[in-house]
Amino acid sequence: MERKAKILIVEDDEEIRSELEHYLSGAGYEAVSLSDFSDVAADILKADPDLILLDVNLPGVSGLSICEKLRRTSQVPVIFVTANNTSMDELNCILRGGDDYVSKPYELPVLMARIGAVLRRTFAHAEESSARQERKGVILDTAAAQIRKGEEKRELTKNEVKILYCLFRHQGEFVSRTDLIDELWDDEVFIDDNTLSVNITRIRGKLRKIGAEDFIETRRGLGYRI
Amino acid sequence: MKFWDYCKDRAGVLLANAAGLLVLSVYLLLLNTTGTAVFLIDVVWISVLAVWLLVRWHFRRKYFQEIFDTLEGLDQRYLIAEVMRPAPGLEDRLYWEILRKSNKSVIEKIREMENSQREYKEYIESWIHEVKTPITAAHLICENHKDGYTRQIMTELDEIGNEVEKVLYYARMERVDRDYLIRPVSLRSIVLSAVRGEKRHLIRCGMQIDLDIDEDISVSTDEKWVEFILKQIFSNSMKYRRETEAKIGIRTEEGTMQKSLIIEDNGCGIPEEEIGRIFDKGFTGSNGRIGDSHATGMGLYLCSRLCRKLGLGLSCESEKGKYTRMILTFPDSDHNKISEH
Repeated sequence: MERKAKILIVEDDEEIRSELEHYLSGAGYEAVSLSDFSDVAADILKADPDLILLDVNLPGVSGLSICEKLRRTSQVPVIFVTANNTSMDELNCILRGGDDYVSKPYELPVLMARIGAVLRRTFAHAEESSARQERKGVILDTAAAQIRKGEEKRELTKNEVKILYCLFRHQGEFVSRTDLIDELWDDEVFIDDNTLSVNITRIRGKLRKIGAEDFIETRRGLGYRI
Repeated sequence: MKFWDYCKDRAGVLLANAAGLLVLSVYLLLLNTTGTAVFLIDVVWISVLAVWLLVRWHFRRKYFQEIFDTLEGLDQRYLIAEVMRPAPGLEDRLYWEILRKSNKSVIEKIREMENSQREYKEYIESWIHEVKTPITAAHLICENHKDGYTRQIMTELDEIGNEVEKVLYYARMERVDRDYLIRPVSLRSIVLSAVRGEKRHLIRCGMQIDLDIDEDISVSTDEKWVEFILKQIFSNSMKYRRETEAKIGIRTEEGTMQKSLIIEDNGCGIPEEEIGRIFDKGFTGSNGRIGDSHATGMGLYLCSRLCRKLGLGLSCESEKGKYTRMILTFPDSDHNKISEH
């Protein structure tokens, strides 16, 4: 496993700073933050992060000008975070050298996806979202829409692939039904509770046929785990 | 200004002249002046008077015509006193003075109101930016401590966010021209991000989404504003949904010179006599008074104003108890054609 990507949070609200740090650490990043905004550009260079979450409205200084200053010496990826949300603001951020733009109040999954995408774009080494994933001998092939174990294999529908993909992404931890539905909606699967149950039952049936009966573990009140 | 009207206006002068002429003629006749001489004097008097009247009438007419022309060409008519020049007459100058003073106070009043309105809007905007920070923080705290309660709080936060957004767009409406950016965008991606923004609510309402939009349909518009409009439409569909099997269907239709986005729900619909008024400010209708729908009559009003500013069409078809269909029409712009070739 390569080293964790280091994300620098430049944000003046203490609550957001600490919660975001907490969340990012939980998501497998190294999160650090700045609390002094007298010379941000220099502090950023000193911290040498892999990615910067830069608030646009900082006390006494604009994130846009910091980014401009930063760009003279560094190409470190910057994602702007701002309370403004017009297209003009977005354009401004990109013109000043930002790599992406997220407006407050943001959805964390969206923020995470943006961070992931920017990191992937910048550092080719980052984990490639591969078309094949394996867990306990079961292989999910998203490209072929198949689930395999040994020689046995079964075709999956589009929704089944996405549900399984979601579970594979959270290997080893319980995913609650609500969170699962939440994430699937981001993935264009507009599913409700009943449909999810139907789909899970069908997936279980297919898993049984390839000999992976108890692959998906269910616990009441907690959700599913693989 | 007709000559006859002008003469009527000068009736006093004419009467005085007539009286003078009569007295003079009688006096001259009493002095044994010949009738021919008196007649000649009368003719000369009347001619001089007529010429004087005609010349005066001509110049007055020209003078007022000029003022009316200037008034017609003025952007703000209350500025007329600033640009018109006074005639040399004493009364004209006095009137001009009065007009100027009164206009000045109007102009000052308008300026004052414009200023206070601008300040108010600026305050609202900065307040909204301020309030977004605690909302974001609360969101993060909920994400970091996920359980049943924080999930509920998150849905409520979404609602606060949505309401705040409405106020922001209302405050901004007057200067759309400064805050927008028209470019070709994928219709599908706008719809998806609107759905994503409302997803927690949609899921909680048990709403089904039936999305049928080709990847490659693009329209030239500002995506942020359209996303906002879509969210308002979704929020209405959720407010007036049916108890079971509530559904929103989203599809496109391509016509000549335009593309339409059709959002159809199977909710309670709108009575026919109310359809014409749903885009009016503050209109809540019979649906808005049912239960706890919290209708403010602002959502669709904002949408239709924004659409007008963006050059989009927004219309509604509905049948009570069956469906409501909102149709958002994007005109085909040259921009689209260029990018497609």
